[in-house]
Amino acid sequence: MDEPQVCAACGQPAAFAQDELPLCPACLQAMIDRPLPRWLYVTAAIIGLIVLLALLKFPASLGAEIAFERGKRAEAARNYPLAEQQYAIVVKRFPSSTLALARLGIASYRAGDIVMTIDCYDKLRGRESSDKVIIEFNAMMSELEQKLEQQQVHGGQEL
Amino acid sequence: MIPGFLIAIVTFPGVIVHELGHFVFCKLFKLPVFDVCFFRVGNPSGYVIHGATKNAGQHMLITFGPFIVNTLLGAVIAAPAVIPVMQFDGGGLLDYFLIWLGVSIAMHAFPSTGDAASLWQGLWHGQTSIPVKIVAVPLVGLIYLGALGSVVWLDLLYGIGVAWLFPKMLVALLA
Repeated sequence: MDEPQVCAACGQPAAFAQDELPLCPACLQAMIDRPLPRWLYVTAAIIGLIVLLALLKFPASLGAEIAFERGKRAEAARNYPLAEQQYAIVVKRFPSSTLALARLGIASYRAGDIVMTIDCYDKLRGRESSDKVIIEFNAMMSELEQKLEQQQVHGGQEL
Repeated sequence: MIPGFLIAIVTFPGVIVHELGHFVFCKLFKLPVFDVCFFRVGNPSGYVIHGATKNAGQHMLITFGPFIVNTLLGAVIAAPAVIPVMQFDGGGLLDYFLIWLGVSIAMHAFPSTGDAASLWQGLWHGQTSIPVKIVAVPLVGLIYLGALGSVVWLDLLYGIGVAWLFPKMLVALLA
C-alpha cells in the first residue's frame, strides 16, 4: 500500500503534487502568494526616485539631441542659418560640448555670422582633440584667416 | 578572462531584475514559487524555482519575461544619461550611475542556459502542440547561442546597444 503523501514544506497531509513535490493546500497557496522581500521594495523605491530625477532632465537632453539632428540635416541641405539656429539650441543645453561648439562654429561661418564663429573659436581654443569635427573646424578657421588677411591686403572689403 | 561571478557582482542589479522578471510572470500566472534567490555569489547568481506551468505559452513567457523586463527597464534608465555622456561630453556622476545601472540591467536580459533547459524540458513534458514546438525549439537554440555569445561579451554589447539605441530611435522618430 502507498504511504500517504505529506507536504514537503510543513509535513501536513498533502493534497497536491506540483512537479512531484507534495504540498498541502495552505502551503501551495502560500507559495502562490509569496510576497516580494521588503528590501526589494526599498531598493526599487530609491532607484525609482533617482530615475525620476534623471527623467526630469531627459526632455532637455532629448530636445538638444533632436536640435543637433535637425542642424545636421539643415547643414546637409546647405541651409546654414537654420543649422546655426539648431546648433545654438544644443550649445545652450551643453555649453562645453566640443562637438556642439565646433558644429555651431562651422555652421555660423557658412551662414556669414563671423561674430558667432569667433565666439565658438574662443571657447574651443586650447582643447586637445583628434575628432573629425575639430579637423573640419581648424580647416574652416584657416580659410577664415586667409580671407581676413586678403581683406587687410585689399583694404577692408566685406567678407 | 573575467570569471562570471565577478561580472555578476559588478552588474548585480541586472541579476535581481532578471529574477524579478521570472517572478513577476509566475505571479501573473498564479504559479507557486517554491524557492527564489534574487542574487548570490555563486552559479547561478540567481534563480526562481516554480511549479509546473499550465501550457508551453506560459512557460515561454516566464522564460522570456526577463528579456522583456530587463530590456525595457535598462533602456528607460540609461536613456536620460546617454545623450549627455556619449554625445555631448556633459555627463555628471548621476549620468554615469544611470548608465551603469541601465547597461547592467539590459545585459542580463538574455535567458540563461538554465532557463533554456527548463523550457526544453517543458516542451517535451505534457501536451505541447506541434506549432508551439516549432516556435519554441529555435528559441531554445537562440538562448544557447546567446549564452555562447556571452564568452565574447555579447551580453555587454547588447546592454550598451539597448542603452545607446533607445534615445537614437526616439530622436529618429521626433527629429
